[in-house]
Amino acid sequence: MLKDKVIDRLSGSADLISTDRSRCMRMRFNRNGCRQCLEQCSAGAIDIYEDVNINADKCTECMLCVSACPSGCFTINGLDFYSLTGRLRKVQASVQSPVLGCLSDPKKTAHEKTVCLGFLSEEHIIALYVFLQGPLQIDISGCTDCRNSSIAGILESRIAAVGGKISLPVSEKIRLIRNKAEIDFHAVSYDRRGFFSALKNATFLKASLLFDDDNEPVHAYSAKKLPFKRELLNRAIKFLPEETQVALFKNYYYNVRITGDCNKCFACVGMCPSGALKIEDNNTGRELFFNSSLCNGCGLCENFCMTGAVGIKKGFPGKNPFEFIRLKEEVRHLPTASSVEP
Amino acid sequence: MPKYGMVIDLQKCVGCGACALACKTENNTQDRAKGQTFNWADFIMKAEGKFPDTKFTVRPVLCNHCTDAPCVKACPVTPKAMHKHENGMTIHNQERCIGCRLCQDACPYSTRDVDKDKAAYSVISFNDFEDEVHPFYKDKTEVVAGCTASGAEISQKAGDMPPHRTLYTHSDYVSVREKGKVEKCIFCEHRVLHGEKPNCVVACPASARVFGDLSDPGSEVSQLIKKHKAVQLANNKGELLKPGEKGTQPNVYYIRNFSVRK
Repeated sequence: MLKDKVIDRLSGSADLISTDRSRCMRMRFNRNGCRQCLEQCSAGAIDIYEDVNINADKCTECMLCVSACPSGCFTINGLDFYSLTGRLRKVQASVQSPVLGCLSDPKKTAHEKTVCLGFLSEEHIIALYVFLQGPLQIDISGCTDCRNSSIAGILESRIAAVGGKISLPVSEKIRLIRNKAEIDFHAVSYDRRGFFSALKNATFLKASLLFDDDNEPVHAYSAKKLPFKRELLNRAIKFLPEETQVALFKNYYYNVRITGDCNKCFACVGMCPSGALKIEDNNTGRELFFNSSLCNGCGLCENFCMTGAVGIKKGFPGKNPFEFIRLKEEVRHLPTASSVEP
Repeated sequence: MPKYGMVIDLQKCVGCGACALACKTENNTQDRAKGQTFNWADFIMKAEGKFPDTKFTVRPVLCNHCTDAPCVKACPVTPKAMHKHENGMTIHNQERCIGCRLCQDACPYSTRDVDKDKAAYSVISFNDFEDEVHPFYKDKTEVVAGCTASGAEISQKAGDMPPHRTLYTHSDYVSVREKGKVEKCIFCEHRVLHGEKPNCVVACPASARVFGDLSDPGSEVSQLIKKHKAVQLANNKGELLKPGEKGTQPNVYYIRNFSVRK
């Protein structure tokens, strides 16, 4: 198994994006109508009818499905975002503003190159903002000539959206460079020692990607797995000031509520792909508990609930989304006779 | 491709319970608890009337492997966790089950809680999200304090859980189920695929259970259904499908019902 995988990865025959149908909301619940990846995929390469499939001949590798999927069904093989930010930080030690570019661009003016930058979701942008000390240049000058030319505009709007939601100067720190002439690239100069340690690091990185088992692509449907985007945000949020955290709670976290119609069947616990809901026994019997930091807002719980008791809303009103809180059954506010117009 | 089914001869069945025990050992099912029976082979025991005009009937029950299986229709995941195999068996895939229990609701022979619903049995049982599977063999309290071993010790000494586990492998199901998933009779497909009969059939000392291919008119099951007036169960209260009624087209037939008193 491991041998096959390593050979697959060495020869580059492994698919660029691996899919895990057990995460797909439509695969988990046949009456769910999520179309996020289909809507993003302008090439029409994705099929989610009976399984999650990407038609490699049609796929333009824009990675928008990866950033759009709320439940983390798609994973980019060979991309470790944490080590990417780690390497960019290292570059920042000698170069003021590193350049992040894309592999399809032949220019040599980038410190790091990845697959199409369409994978950078709003959560990724927040993480880059938090984890990098200085400004980052994202080279999108090649986008105009690329089949995925829409990515430039999408990245711009995502960065603007993040800036608007958390009122921090995100677009100043994560700068999109549209014009080739504007790239401020300084090659990292290595002394003898630096050269060899860079070589060593690069070798270790390749080796770690070959043997990387963290992104085991297929899970049992009952397994709980937090989508990478959410995990990233949970890590990044801790480094931000309190008022920004509150803005993030409002814009990126979710809250689940239940009404008295809940018959405690707890099917929502099984339906939830990320483990945000759990059952706990306390002295009054079994209760439903919810952890907002583990919720990706997919809404399967609300969608599935047979008594219509579960409701999910964007925005976490509490102070600590990282703990499980007991969901109290709320009285549903039905319209009273006087409030209903005749 | 055969279409498997079962015929149970009620005049041969004495209600000894060998089928139920054989099933529990073969499939390593846990003890009945909290409204879940975990008995894939079970009984409807009925005592009726008033002394001396009393009547006692025993009817062995199991999953009917319906042709028109409502549990399969209800299963919300893709590909379905509860699904039909070409050989007619209704098989449950453990890996894809998320424990929503829609199958339990849909199946006319199942219920979410046999105690609450006062049902005779339930084909589909649910392993709770939180409770341990086989809690007895994980419990460290001595069965008789200061005298005997605990369940946990027995399974530790035996080196398996449960200690009597029958190890088998199958592409869809596992020999001991996990938390948060349903389970039901799978017609011992792991045995049938190797040319053996389901364990309940093998264990029956009276040969009251006959397993075979319903699509083959020459098979013993087909012959028995033709020869006797075969009936099928309509629900888990013991009611039968009326003549002409199709129900969910169950594939377990009962022949030669009898009664000591009319």
